[in-house]
Amino acid sequence: MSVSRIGPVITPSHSLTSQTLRARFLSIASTYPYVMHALLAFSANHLAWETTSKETRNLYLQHGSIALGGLHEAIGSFSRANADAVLAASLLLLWQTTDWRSWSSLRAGIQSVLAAMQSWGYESIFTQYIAEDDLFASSLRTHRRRSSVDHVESGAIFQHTIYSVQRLQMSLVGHEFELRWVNQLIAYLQQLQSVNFPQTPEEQFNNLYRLRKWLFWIPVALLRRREEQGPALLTVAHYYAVALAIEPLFPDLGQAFVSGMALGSLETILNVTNAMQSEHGLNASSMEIASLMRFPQETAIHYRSRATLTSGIAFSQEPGVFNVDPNALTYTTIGNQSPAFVPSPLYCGGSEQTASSSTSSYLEVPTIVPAFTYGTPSWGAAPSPGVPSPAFTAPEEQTYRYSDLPLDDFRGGFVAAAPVWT
Amino acid sequence: MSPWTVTKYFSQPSPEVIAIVEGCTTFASNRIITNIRYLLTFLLSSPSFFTRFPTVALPKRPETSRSKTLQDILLTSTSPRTDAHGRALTNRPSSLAPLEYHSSQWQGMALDHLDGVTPRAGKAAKPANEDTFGVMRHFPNGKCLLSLGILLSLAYAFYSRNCTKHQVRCDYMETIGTEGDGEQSPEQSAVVLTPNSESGVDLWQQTGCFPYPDLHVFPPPPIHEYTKNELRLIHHLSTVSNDLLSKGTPGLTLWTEKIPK
Repeated sequence: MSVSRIGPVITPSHSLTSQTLRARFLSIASTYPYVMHALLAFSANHLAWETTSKETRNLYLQHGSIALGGLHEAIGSFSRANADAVLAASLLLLWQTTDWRSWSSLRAGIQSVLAAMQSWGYESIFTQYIAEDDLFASSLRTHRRRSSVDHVESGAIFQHTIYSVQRLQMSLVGHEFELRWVNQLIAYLQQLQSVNFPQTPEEQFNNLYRLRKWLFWIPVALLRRREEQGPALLTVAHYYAVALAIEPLFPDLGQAFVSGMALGSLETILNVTNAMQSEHGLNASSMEIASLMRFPQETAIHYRSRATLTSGIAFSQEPGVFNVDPNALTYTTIGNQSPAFVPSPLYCGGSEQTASSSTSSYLEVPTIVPAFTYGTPSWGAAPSPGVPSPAFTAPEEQTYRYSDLPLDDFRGGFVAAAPVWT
Repeated sequence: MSPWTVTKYFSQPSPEVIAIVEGCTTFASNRIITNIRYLLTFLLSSPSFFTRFPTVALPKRPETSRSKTLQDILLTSTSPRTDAHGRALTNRPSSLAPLEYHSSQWQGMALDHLDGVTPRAGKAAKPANEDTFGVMRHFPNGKCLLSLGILLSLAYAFYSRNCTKHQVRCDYMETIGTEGDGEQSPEQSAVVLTPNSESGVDLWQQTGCFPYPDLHVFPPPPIHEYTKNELRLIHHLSTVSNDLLSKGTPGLTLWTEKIPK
């Protein structure tokens, strides 16, 4: 199959200066322990996803709790001196949030910090990150905007997206590793398509949370392999494109949820494939790759033009400067067993779980794929490389309680964490 | 404060002290293999370790005996009455003397010793045999290994919170953390890396050189301030980012260009 012929992938390397400028998370973490804990939580989170290790997951929760407590304390004494550290920890935790309230709370906190920094005329590497992720920092300003997409149009978007990923699926015969993730993506899209459209921001978060988690981990899993990069690159491009295509259907989340981050990475891939195409000319292989990449390419172009438009509208409605107020950023839902607390929240219910079940109300997906499994006692890993494919595993809120750890309060947001083991 | 975090509270000790304290945390987490290797590495690299290195700081002990010379510990360890718990020496051979054992005898004797003195330590040490003896092959005479056993058992004894099981008063129960036994520290949770990565972490810990210079991490993390598991986690993120950097694809994911650095 000709998709194998992409690569090796060489992107323009960053200059030393750029690399050094970007070298900030770990250096700040050396000074601010809560940033280090946020970084360690991120690492443990990834490792837990890869290995499905319960112990590593506990470690993630522990570091996350400590980071959250530290961040909350730091916000209480927010100043120019610790602004960078607060931003760094907030970003790291934002990327790991598993529920709407934590996510929106951290987003609000970040916006407040940004506003304060803006008033000081202070720029940092993290403001650049945020600007990249959230094209024009518009999501908060356009908070609770309604989608202009009606049901008919959203149905068409899903249909086109699924069709495009299925085309990729057909081209990946023989590339089992990539096929596994593509099959998973198609199944997920079909489930999203079949459920009632989520109304509340929380429902929207829960619906899209799984895709967001995948976008953090799966591209890394695909691109780290020693095998040929072509199929991996096409698969990753489609994951990103799916996020760009369907996230606008969840208007309460905004670009910062994941699509803003995905756009930059997708455009980098497009640069690679476009360059390759112009290098190899119009042979059959590059024609096919161009054909497969049309969906990611068109989606990226459409997304960027729409984002520019949205940001223009949003900018004119900017409400003014936020104050950094730790109390405003705090909520306490200690012990809340949010469905999104588990790493693989997309619920693929079995017969014993009905859509109205109080413990499985999360993303009320009817059973549509008989091959899905439910109740796998191992940690539902979304699925991760450690989980046999292609079966989905159920979320564990029904079976996995963290009662052995005083950590139920860590779900990634501004929760004042109880002391863990100090 | 949990006793397991004690490594953090040493103020720039010499590597040997870190090694011993690592031994303590080893028992806490039942992950002994790499730490035994770590400790042995220091012994191997310092044949005159026992004479050269004068003191072992023991945190959270009464002020009067806050530190002991290593010689004290060795002598104390051979005395039936002066073991920290007072219970285990009854199981030890009367001929025990720190420098009299040959490496070929160490395995059985030292583990018996550990079993007697510190059941949990002995249990934890047993799975480490293969790994331990992998290191021993390079050891010229093995004489220090018994001392290592003593150090490990002493280290365990100083941190033991299990005295009630043996109905033996432990002086250190009053000074070592009063937290509930059910509490866990991150160190107690496993971070399992590939053997390659694990070696990389060991090397990083020994040399202090950040393993991935291409990531331009500056300043490098102060390794002495972090536990082994924390170093493993930093190493894991760094490995992922470095893998993608070496393929020229760090910008193709959401985070590998930004993290860890």
